[in-house]
Amino acid sequence: MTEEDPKTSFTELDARLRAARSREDERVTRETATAPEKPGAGAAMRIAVEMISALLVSGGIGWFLDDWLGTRPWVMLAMLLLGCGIGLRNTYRTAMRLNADLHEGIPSQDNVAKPPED
Amino acid sequence: MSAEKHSPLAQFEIKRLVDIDIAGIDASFTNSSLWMIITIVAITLMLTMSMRGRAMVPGRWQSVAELSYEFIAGMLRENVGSQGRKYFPFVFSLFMFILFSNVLGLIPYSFTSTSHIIVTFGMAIVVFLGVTLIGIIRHKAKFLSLFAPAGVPMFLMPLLIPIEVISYLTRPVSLALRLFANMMAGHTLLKVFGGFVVALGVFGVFPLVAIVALYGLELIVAFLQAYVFTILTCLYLNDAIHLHH
Amino acid sequence: MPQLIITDFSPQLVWLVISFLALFLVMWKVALPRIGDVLEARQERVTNDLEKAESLRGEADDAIKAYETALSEARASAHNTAQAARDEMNAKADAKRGEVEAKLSGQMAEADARIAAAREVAVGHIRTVASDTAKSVAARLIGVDVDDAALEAAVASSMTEGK
Repeated sequence: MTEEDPKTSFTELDARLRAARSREDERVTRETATAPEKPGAGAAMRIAVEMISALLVSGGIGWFLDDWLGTRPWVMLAMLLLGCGIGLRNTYRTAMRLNADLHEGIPSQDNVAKPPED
Repeated sequence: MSAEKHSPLAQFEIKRLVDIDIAGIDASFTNSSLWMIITIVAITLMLTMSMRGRAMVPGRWQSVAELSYEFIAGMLRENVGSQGRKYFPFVFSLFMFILFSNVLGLIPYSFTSTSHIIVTFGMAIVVFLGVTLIGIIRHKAKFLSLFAPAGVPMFLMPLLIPIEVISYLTRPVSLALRLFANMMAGHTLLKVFGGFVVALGVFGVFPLVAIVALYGLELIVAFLQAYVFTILTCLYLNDAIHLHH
Repeated sequence: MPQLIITDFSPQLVWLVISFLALFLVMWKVALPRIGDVLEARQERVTNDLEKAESLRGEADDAIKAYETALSEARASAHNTAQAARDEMNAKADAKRGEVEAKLSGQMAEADARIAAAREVAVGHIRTVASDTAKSVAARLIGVDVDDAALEAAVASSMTEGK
């Protein structure tokens, strides 16, 4: 009967040890997880920002080219047209990259939630 | 003057507190400068005072300091890899500076330095030039392959390369514009609703509810924009180091 | 829009550079190493403690195993000792019993012999008594003095008949 006592306290200790180990492993893996971002929040703002940036840059380059070549306003107009396309492309790209970053984080968190039992 | 004070845009005005001129450059100490100093003092106090005990079991403030450290370290590791470790102090300072500017700017009667395009553009251009320099130093002429997508027919190159170059040049502008626009929009909206509360008197409770909700939203935006600015910096750094999109 | 006043650009840029540079230096040289050290120390401590706890747990397991084998060994040896003692005692008891039995059977045989001798003597007496009686009876009744030899034979035959 006296042998029973240390054994039950050991199973308890084992459980606590396992818990501590899995908590520690979880913490280590969670370090790599990323913060959540609300998808779709401020979509209009994002598109506007990308479009205006692209138009500003390509329009600016066109302006300087016009100055240099003396072709005002043609190069700038062409560049603004190109800027629209670039802006759309950048909107898509930035969204993809920020999303890809999000999706990498989510499954790793799922794995962490259920540590393998042994 | 009083009419201008109530304009939602009045909060963005730069007020010179001390006129300073260094070698012909206007370096006056303004309300913007004041809040920048408050920002960096707040960050420094939070990160050094909380770590004073260097406790094994962290208290609340030490946890916050450690969490922010691990958050940025994780972001850099995940998006750039081990080679990004060198740039950790810069990326961390960038994130904290933007985050604290955004959040401190939400205090009534304070000033948001990140709601000025010149400030956000200043930071964006530093990131852009720094990242470009890192890429050129690391890869020399091979850095230009960033503008020539692989597996594209030769005859399309004359069209694609300018597009890629313009896209690349767009980065600092969109980086600056995104932060500036979000901060300015949020603060203007808060001010407008605040004006409604005052104007409506007793019925001001309705816009007051809206203000509370908006305030919560702005706190999220403040964090999110600091996060987006930082993570895009990480992604651009990754492009420069590993030469792929 | 106050953000587009070009003359306000230069003071903002100057102070952005000053404050950001100051922040960067403080973060780089003071704050981040401090946090990093604490995190590293804690990480080390946690890893060490966990490993220590796990190795101690292993040691405890070994101790239990050693204890159990010692216990079973002790049990086996105790069993053996008891068995040996029992065997010895059994042997001793057996020997004693054999001794006693032998003694008893000797005494029994002796007694038997004594009884047999006594009977012999008694039977001898009976014979003399019988022949004397027969002699006197014959002398009285028929006035015949019976020959001693004949008398003896008759008595012997009647005694064997009577038996």
